[in-house]
Amino acid sequence: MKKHPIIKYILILVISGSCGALASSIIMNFEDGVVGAINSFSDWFGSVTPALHISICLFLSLMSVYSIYKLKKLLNSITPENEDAIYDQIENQSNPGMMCSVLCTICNFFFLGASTAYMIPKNIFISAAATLVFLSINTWVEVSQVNLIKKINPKFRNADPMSMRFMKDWEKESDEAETFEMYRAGYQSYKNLRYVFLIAFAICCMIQIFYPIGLAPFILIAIFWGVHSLSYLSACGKKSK
Amino acid sequence: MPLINHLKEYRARFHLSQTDLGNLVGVSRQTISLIERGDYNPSVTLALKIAKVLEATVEELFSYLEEQ
Repeated sequence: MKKHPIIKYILILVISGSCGALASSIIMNFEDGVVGAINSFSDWFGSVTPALHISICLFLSLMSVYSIYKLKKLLNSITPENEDAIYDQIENQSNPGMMCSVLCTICNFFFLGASTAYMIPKNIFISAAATLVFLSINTWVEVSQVNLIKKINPKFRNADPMSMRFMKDWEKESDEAETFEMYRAGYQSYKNLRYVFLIAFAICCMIQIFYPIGLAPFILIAIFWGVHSLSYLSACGKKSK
Repeated sequence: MPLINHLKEYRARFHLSQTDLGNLVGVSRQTISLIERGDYNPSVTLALKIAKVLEATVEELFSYLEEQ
């Protein structure tokens, strides 16, 4: 098959086509069931949005607060002998806490949006209050994280995390390896997002067949995709000048 | 990675921590750590700065292993 890649592509085409045909025939036979399931899930989700919002965000916030507590404890255990090893540990262990914090922020906005979509005043009020509380906790976590890094590198890191220019200042203060790591991560995220947009578009198309979700998701995907690709290309253009 | 470095040994000779060496050459501690672990290849400028501080040549600190 290595010698004849065309056979591989034909096989992939045939297998994926057959799977698609099988899936669509199964779904067509159970169309009422699929639509019913989506509707009942939608009703259930609308009624439990505040509870889900609070429980998921509380869990993520607690995880990020615990991570910061652990890192601060590690920082306090530094001696001249173990300094390098502890700093390495802090830098390696800081990512999961930040991930929880970022996920919590995204969940906050998602559940606030979901509550608004169902137009239940009580749920909107609870979600808005929860969003405010959790966003405050996340801001504290992120500021603490930045302050930890500033403590490790007092000579190079002075950017104020509460400033509007923080991202710009942080980039300016970074040295060659940190800039390289940031740009590498940025390119990785650019590559991954291209697939995410494609998958999101395919999922919306599939859902649209059984459940009318309207034009809005397609417009939003197109706008985000466009902004994402064009901003990357314009940044590449600026670099090459 | 084909670049081998002896940064840790040379740093130990001068009793410098990663933070101290970073401060002397004008980079963060994390950058020194990344170079020592072989996760980052420094620029020529940085390699020369490190060599000057550690009183060695760049070739003594970094050597390139030809890939088979």
